[in-house]
Amino acid sequence: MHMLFEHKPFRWSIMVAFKNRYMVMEVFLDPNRDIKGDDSIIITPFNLMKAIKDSILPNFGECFLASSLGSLQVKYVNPITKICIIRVSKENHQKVWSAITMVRKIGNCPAFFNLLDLSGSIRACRVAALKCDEKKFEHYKLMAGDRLSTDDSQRMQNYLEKIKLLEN
Amino acid sequence: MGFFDLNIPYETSLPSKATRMKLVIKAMELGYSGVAYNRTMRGVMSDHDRCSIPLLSFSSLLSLVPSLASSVSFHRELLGVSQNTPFRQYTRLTVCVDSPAQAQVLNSGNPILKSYDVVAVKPTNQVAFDHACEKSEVDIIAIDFSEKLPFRLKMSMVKAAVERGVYFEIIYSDLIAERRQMIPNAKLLVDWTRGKNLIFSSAASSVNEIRGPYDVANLLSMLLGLSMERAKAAISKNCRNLLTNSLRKRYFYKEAIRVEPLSSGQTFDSNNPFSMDWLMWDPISSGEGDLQLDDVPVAVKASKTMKAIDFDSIIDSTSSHGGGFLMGSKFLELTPASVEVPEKLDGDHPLTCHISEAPSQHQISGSENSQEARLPDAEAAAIHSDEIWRATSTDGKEAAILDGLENSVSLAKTEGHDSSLQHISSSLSNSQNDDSVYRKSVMPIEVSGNTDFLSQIDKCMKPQGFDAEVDTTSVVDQDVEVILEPQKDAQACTNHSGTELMEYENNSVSVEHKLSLPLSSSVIPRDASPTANYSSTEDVQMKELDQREVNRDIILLSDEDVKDDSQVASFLTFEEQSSQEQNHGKAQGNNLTSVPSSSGRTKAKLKKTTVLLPFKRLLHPIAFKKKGKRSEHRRMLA
Repeated sequence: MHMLFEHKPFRWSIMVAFKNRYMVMEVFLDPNRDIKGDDSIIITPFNLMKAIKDSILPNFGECFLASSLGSLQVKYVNPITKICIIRVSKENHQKVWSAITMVRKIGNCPAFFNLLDLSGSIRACRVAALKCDEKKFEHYKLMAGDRLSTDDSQRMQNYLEKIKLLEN
Repeated sequence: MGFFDLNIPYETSLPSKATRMKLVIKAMELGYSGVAYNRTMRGVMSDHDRCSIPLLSFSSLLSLVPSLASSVSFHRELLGVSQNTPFRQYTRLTVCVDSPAQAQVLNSGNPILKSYDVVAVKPTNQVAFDHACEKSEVDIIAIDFSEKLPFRLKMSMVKAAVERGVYFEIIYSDLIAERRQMIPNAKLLVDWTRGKNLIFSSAASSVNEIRGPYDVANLLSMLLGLSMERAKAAISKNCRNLLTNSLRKRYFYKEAIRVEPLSSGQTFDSNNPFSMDWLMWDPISSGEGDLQLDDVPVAVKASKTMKAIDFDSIIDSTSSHGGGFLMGSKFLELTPASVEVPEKLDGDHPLTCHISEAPSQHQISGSENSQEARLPDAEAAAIHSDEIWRATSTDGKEAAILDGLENSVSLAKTEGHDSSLQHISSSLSNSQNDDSVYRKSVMPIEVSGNTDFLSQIDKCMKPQGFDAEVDTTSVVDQDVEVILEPQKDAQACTNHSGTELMEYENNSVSVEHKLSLPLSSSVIPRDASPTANYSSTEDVQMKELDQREVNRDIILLSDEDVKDDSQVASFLTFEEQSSQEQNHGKAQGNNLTSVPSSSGRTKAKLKKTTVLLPFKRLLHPIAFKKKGKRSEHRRMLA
């Protein structure tokens, strides 16, 4: 009986490090339109974040939204290749991922997300994102054909540099 | 592992074609390796409902999206799907059923259903649902969860459907389109099927409702309380299994035999067995629906013209010109062929062998007459030689293990047996020379040293359906001579028998499967008195034994107790790969009785044998399962 009331010293080993999940996703904007054509909107971290929140709220409620907001963040967006990196806490990632899957529009533009990579550390995520970004840029070049300007390549280089500098 | 979306809506109107193309492009881009175009049908089925869904060509898709191929390969790489697998297109019919009368349409003989790759039923009331679960010949039960269910899901019905191998479909585009009332019922279904016979599909009316495979798996595992593994299986493995089954139903007669028209100029070449093609057989190929993404050699495709056999036309065609059709592997049920062997034996004089084979309507061979006539012989030969290997190899092993190699007495014994094996193989080959296959099959039985065994030939032949009449007395008379004389030519002739048997391997396997049971019954008394066998062979053969062979046997024997009996068989008959393979399982079965110490190993091996698809089974024959059980039972009795 005395064991129950015995004072136990606080132990650090009980604590578990807070863990994130990093999702590399691609965005398909306005998939119903004729396939060759310009995008109607430009994706930014803000409109992506808004779309995700708007999906979480009706699907999983305010409480879940509030609890997930602590770690939920759009880390990186590339409007050329439509690749983005979303960080979310490990406990919530499945629900947030489901909510992202149920996103149907960004702003007023029909859109959906597709997961490309899911990793547990920013380092692994950087590698995957770089690879995906480069591949997607190849497709972009193929699609754009001669409309591709040198400006685009320069911008692309900047974005790739951005991925390399990502922290946490 | 490929991912499938087995519900891409198909409508006949023009704008829907553009939508369908976009959907297919998106599905390809997302890494799916197959889609099914779904046509929904209501009311009475007519000939108008025959499959008329045009499949898309890769070039038309590529003209819309030039970067498609690279995009597909990018996503496939991420998903871990092989780049070589073609993108497959299937046709699917969903029949809405609201009365038992309509449900009657869904039977296996319906030619309209046969024109589609996959058939689904969508029940709209309780009776229809019960019927769909219990009786309908369909692949999928599609339940529309987006509205209030017009029937109650019943656990017994769901279980019945799962047992019959029917899959339930859950459509995820409802979830995305904010029709959340589907969740409770779908969850119920998931709980009852335990995620086993479920498939997820999109039924996307617009491109915006389709999602990537992993997104779908996560979404549904999240919302329906399914494990991620099961959810993933529901869009990949389950779909694949479903397609395998449904395509087998569609293209194969009795789900086992496929008939293909043979071009008139092409003849059956026994050196190049037809069945070799089946190694490359692609079980989920729907024929023209496969879109090859790049120039990689394709697996054998099913041709669209091919239908399940209708027997009348085949019988007609064979009676008229004797050829033209080639059975997938000629392993249909053989009609009892009466084999008569008038025995006129002097030494190793050639036997005359008359085979009058009742013209079987099932057995259709594109080759010439002799081919046909020799077929059952080869089977018989395989069976008998098979049996002898089984008996002798275990004898040898038994002796080796019982007494150890140092014991000279036991050595002599085993030598005796192994040399008798030599005789068998020599007699096998010798008779091969004589071009009398049947003798080959009969001789070894007596040669193996047991004259009593002869009396059982009749017993074991009758149930085989060969209805053999063997002149037993004459065989007994020249028993000993026959054993010894062929020995001379042993080395010289073994090659022939090996190659010859190889040719017939494919033909004989299946029959061997069927017939192994009656055979085993005839073997029992022999096994019961192994010592008697020893003495009989030993007496005769020890005298005549070639010293060289003794040495060889000793060497090989030393290997024997470390290796398993399949190797024993292989060194003795390394030419006769085919019979050895068949023997393998049986020897194991017998081994259980004689050598309990190694039974653990053999058991493990028996477990390892998997049930293969109909044609792969021919290439990798496996033992008849009851064999093992039977011998185990015998061991228990002993």
